[in-house]
Amino acid sequence: MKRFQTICFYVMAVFISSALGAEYTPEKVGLSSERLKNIDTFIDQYIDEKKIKGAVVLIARKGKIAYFKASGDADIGKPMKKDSIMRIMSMSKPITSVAIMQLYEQGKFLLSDPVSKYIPEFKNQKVFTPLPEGSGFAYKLVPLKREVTIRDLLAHTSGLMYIGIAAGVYPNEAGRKDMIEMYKEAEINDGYCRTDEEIGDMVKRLARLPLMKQPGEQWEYALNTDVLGYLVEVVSGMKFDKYVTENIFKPLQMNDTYFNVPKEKTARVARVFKSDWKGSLIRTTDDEVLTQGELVMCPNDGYKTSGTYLSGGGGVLSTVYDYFRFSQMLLNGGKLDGTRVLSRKTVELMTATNHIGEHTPGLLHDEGWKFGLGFAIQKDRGHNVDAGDVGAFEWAGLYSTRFSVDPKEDKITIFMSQTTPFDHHFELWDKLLVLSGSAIED
Amino acid sequence: MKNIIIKPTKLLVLLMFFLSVPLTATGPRVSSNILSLEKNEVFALDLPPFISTEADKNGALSEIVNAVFAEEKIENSISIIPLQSMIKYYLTQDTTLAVMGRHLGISKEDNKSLMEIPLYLSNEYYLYYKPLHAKNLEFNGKLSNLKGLRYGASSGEETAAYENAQIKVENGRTLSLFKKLKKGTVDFISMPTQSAQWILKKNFAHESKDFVMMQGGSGSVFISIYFNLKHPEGKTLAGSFKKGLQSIVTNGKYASILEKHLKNPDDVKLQLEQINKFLK
Repeated sequence: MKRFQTICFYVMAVFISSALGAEYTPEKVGLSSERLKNIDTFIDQYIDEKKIKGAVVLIARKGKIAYFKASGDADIGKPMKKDSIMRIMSMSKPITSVAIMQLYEQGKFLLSDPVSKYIPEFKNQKVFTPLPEGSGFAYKLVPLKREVTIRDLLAHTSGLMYIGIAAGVYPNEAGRKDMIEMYKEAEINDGYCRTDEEIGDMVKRLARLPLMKQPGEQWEYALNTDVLGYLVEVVSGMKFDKYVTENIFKPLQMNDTYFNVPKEKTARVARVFKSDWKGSLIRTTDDEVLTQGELVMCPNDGYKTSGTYLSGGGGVLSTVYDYFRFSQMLLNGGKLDGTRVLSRKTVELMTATNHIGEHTPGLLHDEGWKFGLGFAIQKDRGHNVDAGDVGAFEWAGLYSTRFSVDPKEDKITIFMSQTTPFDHHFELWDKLLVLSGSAIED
Repeated sequence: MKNIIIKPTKLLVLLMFFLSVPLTATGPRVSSNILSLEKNEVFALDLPPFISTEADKNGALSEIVNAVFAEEKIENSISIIPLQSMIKYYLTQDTTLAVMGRHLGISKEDNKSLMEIPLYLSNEYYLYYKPLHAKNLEFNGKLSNLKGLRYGASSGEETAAYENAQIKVENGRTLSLFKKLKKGTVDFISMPTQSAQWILKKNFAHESKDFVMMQGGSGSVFISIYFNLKHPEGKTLAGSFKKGLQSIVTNGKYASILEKHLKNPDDVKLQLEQINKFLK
């Protein structure tokens, strides 16, 4: 009997440690402990220099967590913890894309389907074309050469916009200012501040505004994934948060991932800090609205325990460990711990590099990268932005969160802080990927 | 059992047929020519429950307009637009057949090349947000009673009367005007009763009682369709539309559509009187 109890104890211990994301000796998965320690020093330096308040970093290889550390603070007087909950912002997009691809796998639609087939407001769209100064009207609206497809939304080639993307990011800027005014007049929301309406209300207004570009003619990071979130509702008949909870979060045991964090977990939500990257680190106040050009953000909407505005492009809060489970599912070809969320063929389709043709996803990345169905993928290594391997795919969130999946090395790197503005984040992230890659020892 | 033998020439024809089929038979193909209805497009400004993609059949007036076109066997489509500035754009285009809605910002100059056909007479009321006004706002038919306050006007609305009464004016879309009321950036707005009821029920269900209607109507506004006489067929189609409208008023369809959407028999009676006056 005693022996049986001992066995039970060990089985339980293994189960519990596995549930909490047990860490493995790095050497067992071909990583160097010594080299991974450099990450401690690296992150601490950013904290000491008051560039960030705190961070959580996770590196996994061959399905096992080899490095998982929380550093600094989540708020004043509150240490950052491995299970601190973060606003993952645009890292919501891969989750929304997976939701859409699940419905695609069920034969609910083809990626080549026009969006108007499911959201009728997308019918009869027009494209904004600026006219030269002195013309009777500032612009003309021309018919589409072809309709916006579901693939366009996934790959960001629809012709939609984000209000907050700074001027000068994309070519052919003429008319962008007028378009932004139209978006504002129609109360289009980039999704970084919650409103009291439903996502579908915004999407239906957005669909009836002109497109900035003809579908397929430009890669432009935009409100596409918010439209996809609403499309999930239309096609599945479920509210978007319920759909992803039932079909992604629960099957992957992402137990701390939400659109609206439950009251008992709000104390775990890390505070967003404003950093000038020169040593000034200021805590955001409860009702603070951050603006940067046309970009408007309400970081502390993240503490709200209820809300109807379910932004598929930026509304999710999660932990590093939960996002690791999501990333590992993608790395495993759609499956984790025996639970299949997507087929291998669908993950291959999502990570293919030819969805955007000759375009370059020039926002977080640049030449040498392509955009798949939900994230950017490294196509070659001859350019400035390098994730360590061809085929590595990744995306980021506006409060300085990032993930990278390297299928060739079977490696995942995740970084999360809660820092604004985003601009300074690139250097930290690029260096972290170098440290992560250079820890490979086999 | 009879043997099926296909001669080589027939086989070649069959083969060519099957080779050509996959080009069009492997799923939907997206092109503007098979999906866009560009013929006789009417651009309409969002105003629930009269014109709205949220409402059954896109709202009472959209259904009426479609019924009139159908009566005259004219193909048409209605594109519902959220911004008055876009309607303004379409008004300047020779290729636009018609626009419809309330407060479209039509100037006297625009009006020369338009033919207005009223569809509905909207009786409107002023609303304010009670929690921000401990002392009730009183209109009682005189704008001077609201002097010094801020009026939330629909974009495209004629506002000279307010400015003359020393009332500040701020523009906005229908729903945003309600939000501005609640936020306190405007003090009162004017709205068709049915629109107010629709928006309050959908967007402010738990606080609809906080939005209070002032005594005395703020006025009546026609919600109309405007045919563009610069359009090659504008004048002819406007004539056909008027004839079709007469038909659906006579055969009871106009009344039944309004009754179905607005569920107010007294209002339907009033509208029939108005529309018959126009059609005489």
